[in-house]
Amino acid sequence: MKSKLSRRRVLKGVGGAILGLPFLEGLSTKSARAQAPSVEPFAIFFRQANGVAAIQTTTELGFEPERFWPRNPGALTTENLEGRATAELSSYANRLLIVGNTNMRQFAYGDGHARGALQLLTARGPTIDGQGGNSEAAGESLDHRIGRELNPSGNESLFLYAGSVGGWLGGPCISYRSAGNRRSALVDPKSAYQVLAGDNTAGASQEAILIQSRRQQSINDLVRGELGALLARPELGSADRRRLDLHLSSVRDLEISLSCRLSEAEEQALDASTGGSSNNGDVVLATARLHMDLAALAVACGFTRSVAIQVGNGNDGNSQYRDPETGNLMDNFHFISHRRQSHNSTGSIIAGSDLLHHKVDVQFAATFRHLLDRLAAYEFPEGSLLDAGMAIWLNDLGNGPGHSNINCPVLIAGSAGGFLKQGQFVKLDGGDITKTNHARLLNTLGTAAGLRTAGGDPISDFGDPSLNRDLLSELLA
Amino acid sequence: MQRHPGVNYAYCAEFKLPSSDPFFTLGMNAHGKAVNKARAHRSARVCNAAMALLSLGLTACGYVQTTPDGVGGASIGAGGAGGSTAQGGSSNDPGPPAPTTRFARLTHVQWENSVRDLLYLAGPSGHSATFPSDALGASFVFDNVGGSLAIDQALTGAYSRAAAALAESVVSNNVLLERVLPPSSAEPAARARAFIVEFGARAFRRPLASDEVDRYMQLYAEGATLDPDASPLLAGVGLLIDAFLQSPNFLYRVEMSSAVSDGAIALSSWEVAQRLSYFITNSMPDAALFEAARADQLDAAGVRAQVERLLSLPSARPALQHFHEQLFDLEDYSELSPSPEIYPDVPSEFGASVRGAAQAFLSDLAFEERGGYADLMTSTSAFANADLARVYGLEGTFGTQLVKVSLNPAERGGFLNQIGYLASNANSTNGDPIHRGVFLVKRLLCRLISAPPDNVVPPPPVAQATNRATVENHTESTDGCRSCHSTLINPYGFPFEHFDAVGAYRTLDNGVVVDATSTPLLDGDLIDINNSLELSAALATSQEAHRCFVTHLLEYALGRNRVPEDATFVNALDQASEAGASILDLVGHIATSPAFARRSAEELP
Repeated sequence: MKSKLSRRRVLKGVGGAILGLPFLEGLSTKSARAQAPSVEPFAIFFRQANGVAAIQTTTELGFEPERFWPRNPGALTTENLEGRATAELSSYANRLLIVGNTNMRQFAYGDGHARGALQLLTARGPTIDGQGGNSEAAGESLDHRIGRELNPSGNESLFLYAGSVGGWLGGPCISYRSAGNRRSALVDPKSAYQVLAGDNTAGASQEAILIQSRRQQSINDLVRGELGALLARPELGSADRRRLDLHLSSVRDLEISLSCRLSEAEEQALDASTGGSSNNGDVVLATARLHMDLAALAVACGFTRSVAIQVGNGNDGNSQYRDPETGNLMDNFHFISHRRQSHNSTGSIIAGSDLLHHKVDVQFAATFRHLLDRLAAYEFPEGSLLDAGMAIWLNDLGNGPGHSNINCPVLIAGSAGGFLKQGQFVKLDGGDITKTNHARLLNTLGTAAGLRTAGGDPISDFGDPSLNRDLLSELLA
Repeated sequence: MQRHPGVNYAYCAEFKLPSSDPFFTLGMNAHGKAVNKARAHRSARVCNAAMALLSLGLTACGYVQTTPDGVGGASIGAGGAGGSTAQGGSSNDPGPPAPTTRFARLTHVQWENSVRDLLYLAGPSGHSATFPSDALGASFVFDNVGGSLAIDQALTGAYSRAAAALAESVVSNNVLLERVLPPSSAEPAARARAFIVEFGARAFRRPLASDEVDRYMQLYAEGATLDPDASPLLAGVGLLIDAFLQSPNFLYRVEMSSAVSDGAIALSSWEVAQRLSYFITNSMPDAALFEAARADQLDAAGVRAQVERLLSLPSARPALQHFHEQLFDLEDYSELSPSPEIYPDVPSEFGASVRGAAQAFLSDLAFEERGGYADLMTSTSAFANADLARVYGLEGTFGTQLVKVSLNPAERGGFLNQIGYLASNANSTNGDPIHRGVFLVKRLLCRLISAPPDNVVPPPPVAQATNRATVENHTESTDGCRSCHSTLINPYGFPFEHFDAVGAYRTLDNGVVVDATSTPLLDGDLIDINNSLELSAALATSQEAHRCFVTHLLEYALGRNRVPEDATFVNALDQASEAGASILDLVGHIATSPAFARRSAEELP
């Protein structure tokens, strides 16, 4: 299943190899890893909240027509996508696998957004039932597991966030190390880039970079020694030991990061970006696109094999996206999805909010397309980076007003090196909405990304053990 | 205001537990009626487990009116207490503390403050703005839950970048350099060793062991090798500063004391010093506190003296403000954006003014007025500029600066009747009694309210009705909602119906006389009140409310969420607060308690 893509050519292909690889090889043995002869499968998750403008009847607006899903299962033709938000992805139709009827478990989170967002990449229920906005997921998320098991040198997967920090579910909330152990997200793309590229090296001479590298290595040796001494103390409980272990594993030398660089022009564009926490939908989606640039770079240079990009907090209740027709910012997305000017079910009805929801969906689709463009830009005779891995657009909910756990949108671009079908709209379980199959989807995606059992078989152990976790054969090529 | 004390049920007593524990917790029975005063249970944990079962089996919608582990609920009768704040006084000894982390990572604010003080900078360096935001568990009120603050790859890199930049800024600036370097009379190596001993002790907040000094001397020597063009002293000291700022002994508030005595571990004087300083000033110990630690003078009297001194420092103000900011969600005030159609006079900087006014009020109340929790609920003081004065209906001349004002005591009293709470718990067009009630009940009474169902039935359109009528009709017309809203939420939100979406006082709502009457449950009694003034007055004397406030203060002080083992400590604080202790008194009470100077003999699992 592996694509035979040259890392060296990947870097040259995108025009981003600022530093000569021979120099890097001289600097570090680890940088050679960035030139592995093949591209391993990877997964980049892109999360949207609040469901989509699917066909439904709401108390607020009555009948709402279908505006998201393709018209029919089967081949993703232009006609099949016409008039739907997914038509934004028509140029990638033959590399898409749109998955319908993905149904989550009605875990007792006590809130639809918590249930959807926290289950999205964990396939787990809450640590404590009924906590609503105070919920935590009771297990590791798939992005983290992929990174933990497959990343080179123990890098954690990247967790990137676009939107305002804080709000429902505390803001960044989809990535977990373990039960109740939520990860922090990188909000400012500039900070995210520094994780990939190191720092203080842009524009520096090779000699200066060498000095910095050796200097940091000396400090790291000392810090590792201090952490080791602390870890050796018998008084430590397991919780403290886990945290120090994480710290110790995070102390890195500069070897890998020096090979993960944007072009000078792209670095300048990044520096000029506003980035960071924002309620303005334009800024939020621009930040998401910058995160996507970095996600593509991160998988291209072998930093990580998984990235999770979350847009908006638990209910994306702060972001105000722009109506392209009026040019004005809409009410926040949560209000739009509720069809009311309220975070609950009071407040005035927002006229035409189903169409506004569709306009938000279209903007998310266009943003997802940006990620596909970036991945496809890494081209080789054998194919592109997009073909080697997967970009997956997911949603917490099936729809807005109903907060449905049924038919939660899943769009996969890229075949993970030929593992997955392409160019199809598949409804899982024949459209049987009584089937809970979200955990099966995550096990399938994990396997596609390269996770295997000790015996080399596809995984079927991810998520709550009470759930069916077998592969979804209908998605396999 | 009339109190109806006759609605009590011995809730947990149904489990036939002995009645020796000081807790009691509030709950609901199968019919949604409030029940209380379950004094009779062996422990809060047992009681709450029992209550969880009851709630699953008996409540209509899974809503439970209680407190996690029972700690924040009101207590009656014995347990702990004693007014003394003296360390070592047995009457004030809350017993063995609960397990907590030995490695509380500095919060980003603490890192910024510590770097400022360690390097003698004039102000914050600003580097923490580049740090990834911490993953705040949704159940955390405060940012300093040390056991949850991790250092991952992203933060490690950010620390490294900040350390390198700070080291460079110091060694390239003679003024900064001379502040941290020992006198220049010694030869470079001796000077470097003296620097390691002195600077290292301040960075680690304890003296370095001799082998640690040797390791850092070795690093110092490497500095000259790595940067042969620089002077050996500058190259070495720069590398040392870089390394100290990345050391786990700087980044964590390490507590490695391990000798168990009387069921707990007594912290070293260095560890006590850093607990005191990070609680009261949110930064590293200052010179006087270090000296007290070095001289082993942090016994009961020594701690009292240091606490009194620390509370008088300017840095105590932003530290306590940090507590209030998080307790009352003041950050949300900045986001206020009332409908410009309904409130065309509200300027874009309204939110910033509201937040600033709340900060000023809280700081003034604590430090100038020496007020306590009761004053927080009843004071008619406030801060206003021209924009806020207009909302308050104040006469006089106001500019852009916030000034202290007196509000109309017939309309307003206490923090809850100020613009901030009222406007931040409103939608863009009207007050929001549901969120006003939920915030008050959860944050000020420490009760747990389960989330609403996933798909709440939308309210029917109600034309020509008041805001209250709309909410009442929506939340109390069906069984599924009524059982919770009519008792647990709405009675605490409706009293604020005299205030619109921006917190302006009104007597009419949609042309109808405002009805702000309500019958909330406090301390086990249903009380009839006419408006939010009466509710605030009731909260000012409520044991449940006092207990909740001191519980939050204790959580902030200890850097962890409350646990049942805190009950005795909370009892003592509660009694002091009800007796009129100021907020600063309560801070002192915590800081001088024996429990604050000890850690559990057990480790976190």
